[in-house]
Amino acid sequence: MNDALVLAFETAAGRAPGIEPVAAALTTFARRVVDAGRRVQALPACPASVMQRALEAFEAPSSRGVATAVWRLVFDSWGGAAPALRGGSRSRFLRFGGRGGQLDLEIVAEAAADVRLRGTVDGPVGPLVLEIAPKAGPRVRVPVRAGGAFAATLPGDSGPFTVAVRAGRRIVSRTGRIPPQGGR
Amino acid sequence: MSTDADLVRRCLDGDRLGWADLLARYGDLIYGLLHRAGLDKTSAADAFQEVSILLWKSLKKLRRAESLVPWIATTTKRIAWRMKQRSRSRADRDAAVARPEADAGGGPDDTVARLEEEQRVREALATLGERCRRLLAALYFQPGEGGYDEIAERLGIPRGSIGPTRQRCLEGLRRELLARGFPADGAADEPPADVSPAVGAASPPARDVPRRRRGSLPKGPS
Repeated sequence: MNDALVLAFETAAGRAPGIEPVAAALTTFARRVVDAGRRVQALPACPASVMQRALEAFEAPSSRGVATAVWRLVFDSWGGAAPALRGGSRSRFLRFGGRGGQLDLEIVAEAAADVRLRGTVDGPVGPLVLEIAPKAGPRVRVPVRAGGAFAATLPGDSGPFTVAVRAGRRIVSRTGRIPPQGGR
Repeated sequence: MSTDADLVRRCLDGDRLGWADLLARYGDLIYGLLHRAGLDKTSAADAFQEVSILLWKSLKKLRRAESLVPWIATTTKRIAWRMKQRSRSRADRDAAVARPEADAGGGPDDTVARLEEEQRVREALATLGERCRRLLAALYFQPGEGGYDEIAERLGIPRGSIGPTRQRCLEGLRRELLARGFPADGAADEPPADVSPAVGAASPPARDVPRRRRGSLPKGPS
């Protein structure tokens, strides 16, 4: 049996010509293991940093329940400008701030198409996820990358939306409603 | 060996180590699927985070699942596809809408049955020692790794110990695979008298085992 097992694997891996009779079941078993093992070996292992980030993103239930900070709007590039004075730019820059940090957000509304969002989150530490909740349509979650940068896209007809910064299941902070096309 | 249901229950009980164990078990599967889907390292890292979040949020729903592999495979492929779609121009996206699964890297390599097999091999190898893992990988899972002399030198083990180590490692691998339900084809039809106690009903009958002299195995130093 033991020799047969070795022979089956040697044959399956092409290390032996396979001229010796081995139980069909063992041969098939070895071949399947070798095939599966080769597929596994051909893939990269999950980097420790990626694993760690996923691990830290979640807190035990007992540590949840920290109060959420509501960040208020402190700057709006369209805030004082009449529509005619906004020029041809479709970009709108917003800054939200409050307890624990701030959120810089650029909104680019393309005519009859998507609304692109990008920006940075400063303040909250750890692996973060930005959750964008539009009035119409499903929520969009995007990870906050190293350095606090993020980018997301909403369908053009999503309407006003809110942005929440999450650390695992906990909402660290959130904004009020943001109209994508301007207005307060 | 904790079942997936055990791990999910521990997570739901707030056991952080349970979540760590779950990620350790499936991290490579998730990352491997993202790699197969063609995501670069940065996108794969982001997508991994998304899958983790969804997994965490779905734990309640999955607490009675026998295996998490089907859920992980479907979810990971969907997220990979969405992430690739995000990075494309709108025109490219429109063209891809009709074939999301294929575009996410789905193919014969990604059927749930094959992924289950891969996952069992991954888990079984993880239970073996480092020495066994490296040796079996060099001998069987990395084509073109060279002869026994090269392998012995690279792994830093005496050539003469490859044979016995290989045998011990293969037996351990087989035992762990069978314990995880890896199919031992045709074994159910074999007569019980020939069943080896070490591996249960999956052993082949003695009559089919080649009668070889010890040491006559192909090139295997003993």
